[in-house]
Amino acid sequence: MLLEAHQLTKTYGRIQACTDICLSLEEGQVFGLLGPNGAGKTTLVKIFLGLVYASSGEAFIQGQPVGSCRARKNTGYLPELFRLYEWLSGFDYLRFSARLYSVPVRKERQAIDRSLEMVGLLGREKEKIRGYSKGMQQRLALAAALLHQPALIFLDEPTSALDPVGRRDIRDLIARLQSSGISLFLNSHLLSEAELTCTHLGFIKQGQLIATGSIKEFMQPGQSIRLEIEETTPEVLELLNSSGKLISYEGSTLTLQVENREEIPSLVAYLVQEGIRIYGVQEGSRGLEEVFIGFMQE
Amino acid sequence: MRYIIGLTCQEIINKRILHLGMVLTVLFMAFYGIGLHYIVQQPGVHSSAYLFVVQQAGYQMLFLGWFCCTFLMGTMAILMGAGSISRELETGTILNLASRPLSRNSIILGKYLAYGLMSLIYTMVLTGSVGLLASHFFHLHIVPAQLFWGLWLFSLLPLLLLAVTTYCSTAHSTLAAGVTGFMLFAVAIIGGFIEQIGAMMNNAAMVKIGVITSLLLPTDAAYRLAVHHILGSIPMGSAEMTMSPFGVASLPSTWAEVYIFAYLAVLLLFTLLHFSNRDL
Repeated sequence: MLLEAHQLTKTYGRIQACTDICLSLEEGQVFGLLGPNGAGKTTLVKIFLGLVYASSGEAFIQGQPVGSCRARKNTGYLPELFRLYEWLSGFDYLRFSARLYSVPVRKERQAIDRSLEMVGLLGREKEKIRGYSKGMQQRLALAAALLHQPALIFLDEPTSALDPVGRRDIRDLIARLQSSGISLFLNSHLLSEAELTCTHLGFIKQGQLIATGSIKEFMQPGQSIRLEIEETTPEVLELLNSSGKLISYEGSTLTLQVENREEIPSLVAYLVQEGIRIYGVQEGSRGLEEVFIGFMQE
Repeated sequence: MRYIIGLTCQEIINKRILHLGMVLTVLFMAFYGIGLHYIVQQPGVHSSAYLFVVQQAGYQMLFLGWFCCTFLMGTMAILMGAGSISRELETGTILNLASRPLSRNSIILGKYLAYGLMSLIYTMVLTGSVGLLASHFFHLHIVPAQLFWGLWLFSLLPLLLLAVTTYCSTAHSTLAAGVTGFMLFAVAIIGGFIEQIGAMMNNAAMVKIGVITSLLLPTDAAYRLAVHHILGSIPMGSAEMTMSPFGVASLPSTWAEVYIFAYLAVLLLFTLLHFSNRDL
């Protein structure tokens, strides 16, 4: 097991940032931890890296207790709020990082060039970091997380400072890293990003991990339909909630869960019979957004 | 730890405040030297009638110069130490270090040693230059070996302030750490003055006040010990030593040196413990 956590709990006074978190990650997996702001995602990653101490519970990376130098030796980390030493050049920053990770001096240049190439910064490494754009700094921070070829990389909002092209590049990079056997632990608000890159997902809400599993498990159960109705009244919501079909709603648009295509006409007929005026029906597969909102509204 | 020392030294060298500090230090030295030059150029100053007065003036100028140096050294140490950890915590750059396979102790010790090394060099050059300038203009009797040992003792002053502010920096904001450092330094200075004036006036209560403030922060004790070591040939209680509160009318006990080193060790230990156990 690459990463395992048993009943990790972190409290700040009366606030429980994480409660009884149990999860495991195997080699080659890309694990996406999804949850709203303040759910405890970053705290959990910080516990795994030894930056924050758990109040109770334990976790291990490759059998080593988290927080130990041995556990950190084989991990990389891209923080959400990354700030680099701006007086250094990109190259100097990576060389400093390589030395902290004990990359042999004779392999240093090769490792730096490889990670620069991976993040698309090769040729810009001699410039001072203070001259880099935010996106370039994020790429550089990512290069530092990659250069010692760790077994597990923690990426906390890895594309938060990137433009759409940069995001696509990082998605491609994640796919390449995964194919080379590196596991990733991804914290992201961008569900589309998680849907495209993750093999496994975990949903965290108010510090509690409410569901984990492979992405296929979450995307499999049924399809969805979008209905345009006249008005979303409390009565309509009550009716749909009692039927267990409602995934989400926004204004007069409802997203409902159906088991299969054949169920759609009967569901629409039932709603019409209940007095709901339907102006449009659109069939769609159940996206990660619906899954996410479904968990968060539970 | 050596990479942290290297990184911190590089950071200090890249800071504009350091460049400004260096320029102002050179200005200080220039004005000090020019001042000494004009004193000894006064007409009739070399006559035998004035010899004693000039010698006294020379010692007082030397003490004044060294005392000004303590301000410069202290300010530099406080400014460096106050932000050493808290600034990294505030900006988030600490994650560049703490998430790597590196113990937190090595982060603290690496930073303290780097700042300490810079303070040591600065103190040696600054106080040594003041000593040599005054000695040159007034032909003061300073033994090189004693000067060297005295400069080491002078260096304890910024090291103490650095230890205090580094400790505060692991627990509080940069501003709070800086304010704490300056306030304690001010208390130690005023306590030192009261002690010296008390010794001149044979007032035991005033001397005790100085001893108590030295227990709180023994920077003044380090200063007096350094002056005493360098000018060891001048007897205690002489006019040179007791003419102003910058001299050594009241010499700290022999245990003061032990106390300073114990103070440093305990404070560093507390800093390591506090930083190792806190969430980042």
